[in-house]
Amino acid sequence: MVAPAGLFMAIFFIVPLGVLFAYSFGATNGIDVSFGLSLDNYAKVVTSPLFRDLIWRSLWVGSCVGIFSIVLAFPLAYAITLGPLQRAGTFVLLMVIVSLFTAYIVRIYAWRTLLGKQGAIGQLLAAAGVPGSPLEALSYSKAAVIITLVSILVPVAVLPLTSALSGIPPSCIAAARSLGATAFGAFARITVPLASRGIISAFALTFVIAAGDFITPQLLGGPQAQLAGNAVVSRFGLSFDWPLGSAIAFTLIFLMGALLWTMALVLRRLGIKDRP
Amino acid sequence: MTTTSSSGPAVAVESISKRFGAVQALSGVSLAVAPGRFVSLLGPSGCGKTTLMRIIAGLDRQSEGRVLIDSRDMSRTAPHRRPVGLVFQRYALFPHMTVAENVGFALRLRGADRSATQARVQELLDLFQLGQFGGRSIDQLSGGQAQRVALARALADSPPVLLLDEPMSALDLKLRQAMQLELRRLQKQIGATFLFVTHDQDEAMVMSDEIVLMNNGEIVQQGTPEEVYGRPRSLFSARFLGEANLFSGPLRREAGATLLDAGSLLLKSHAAAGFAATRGWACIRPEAIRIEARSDNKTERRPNAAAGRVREAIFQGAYRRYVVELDGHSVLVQQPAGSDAAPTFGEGDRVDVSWSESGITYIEDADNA
Ligand SMILES: Nc1ncnc2c1ncn2[C@@H]1O[C@H](COP(=O)(O)OP(=O)(O)OP(=O)(O)O)[C@@H](O)[C@H]1O
Ligand SMILES: [Mg+2]
Repeated sequence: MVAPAGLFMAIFFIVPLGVLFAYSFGATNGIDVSFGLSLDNYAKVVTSPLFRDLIWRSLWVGSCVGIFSIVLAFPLAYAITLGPLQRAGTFVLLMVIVSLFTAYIVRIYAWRTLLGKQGAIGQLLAAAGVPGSPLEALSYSKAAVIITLVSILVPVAVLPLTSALSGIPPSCIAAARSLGATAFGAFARITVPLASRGIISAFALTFVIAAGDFITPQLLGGPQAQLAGNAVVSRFGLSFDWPLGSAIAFTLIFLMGALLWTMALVLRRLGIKDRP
Repeated sequence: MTTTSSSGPAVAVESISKRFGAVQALSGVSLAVAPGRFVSLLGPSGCGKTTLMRIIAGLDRQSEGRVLIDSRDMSRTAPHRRPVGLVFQRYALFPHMTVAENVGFALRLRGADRSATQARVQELLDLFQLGQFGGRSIDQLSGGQAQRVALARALADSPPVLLLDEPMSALDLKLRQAMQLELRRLQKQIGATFLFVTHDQDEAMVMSDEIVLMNNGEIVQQGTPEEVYGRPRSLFSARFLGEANLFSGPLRREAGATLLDAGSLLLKSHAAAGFAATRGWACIRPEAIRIEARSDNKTERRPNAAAGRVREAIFQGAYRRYVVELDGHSVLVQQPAGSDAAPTFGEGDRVDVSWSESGITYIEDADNA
């Protein structure tokens, strides 16, 4: 089992990433890429305010999307596992999975018709006489990117949360209640810690997808809400600077890893173990 | 440790019914448990024992009826405000906490200070011979240890009433028997009221001051183990608790005696004056039947006696059991083994069986269960 799986990983994951990683230490003359062992590209990434802003914004948007996705997904996952919608659980999960298969780009365009310049929500707010320029505030902003990514990623967060919550014996929660815990007390002391593994996976998944996204900011972000992914794409496409593009990508990957790792450590310190 | 503000029952339920959709889990259950008693709820699987416990603990809401704890109406009180502890059928220990953290859970919730909590936890761990297991995680415990942790956890805050839902069902027989005696001793020592669910009749008889026999969501009979075993009021009681020889037929009264005519057998008792039915059953427990070697060849029908032939003879260590074939009936007889005086019989032996009037319990023909 391990050998074929390892081979699979090597061919489809490690090899392409390895090639990109090698690029990030190389250089380009605008036409050809030459491999090397230079840290110039990383130096550019770290010293350039533009790239620093993009990366910082990616991590920030990714964290916001991760947190909001969990906040929205948790009640649904709870309702179909321990809550009142258990009978509908299979149906709800099916809908969630179907929504995952609906083309991502279609959903972004759907949000664009709501949040874009001529979007329905903006026009509604303007018609209602909301002061300021709500149209401007909503369209082509970080908020629009976050709202869209959350709407796309809530179903992704539902799956690990559902699997974690469905592993919690209801009798554990009942036992806590009979030992004197309020409904909220049992939730905070039993349900959340026992679901922590699912919460961490849900955050990691949504965070990584959101922080690495470039389509949503391209279509909905406007110049003020571009993410690191956009810079990577333009390095690989427009300006044909693959080594710099790779360096941006790996800096982002490294920082995302560091952030998730720190989070897991902090949670463990708080006594919330990432085991069921 | 246990305080009761009045002399009323520690727990009472009044006309409790519970429906889960189309399933009627409980119908009109009323029960009062006096303080300091050890009461067993006994009944077949699915008869509503767990449901009744959960309603008393406040974890399920009754469809109808009232729950009184220490004479206060707690029908609508949230579970964390009810002064009852609950030990679950499957223990329900918290997997993300150590043994000590599990046991101290109720104390921490109440805001007891750290050193008091630690002392109480250690006291309980020692009481349950778990002294050195405090730091273990609960997946490192054996079944018996997990069960003791569940008990210790439920007792930590000294609830005056403890509900135990088949706490021994996962233990093997030896451990189970040891725990039965231990639990009973513990209950006497702390003086709390125990309501104990089991579907094991021996366990119920060994442990309880009182047995509450349930079937199909109703209480069928309630009394001391002697009463419920010795004087079953229904066929269900007779059959569920222990073994019973049952004979059915018309009943008639004659000079203060009640007679049941079961064809070749005639049962007669003076001790059934209040029994008015015209058809019914007679229950005789296997150990209430005497068995002797056939003394004569008389064949006429005598009350409370019959002639027969041994069909099976079974040695069971402490007992000898015989299945005796009578004319149109067969009876199960059980006698203590090992006593020098008691003669033993083999298969095919011709014997007389008889019983005294006090061994007969008449049962109305109401249910044909
Ligand atoms: N949450 C529920 N939803 C639907 N039906 C239920 C629910 N809980 C219990 N029941 C039904 O109510 C009846 C009584 O169940 P209960 O668990 O009280 O039985 P029990 O006497 O404890 O059985 P056992 O000895 O097997 O534990 C059963 O028919 C059961 O299927
Ligand atoms: Mg049960």
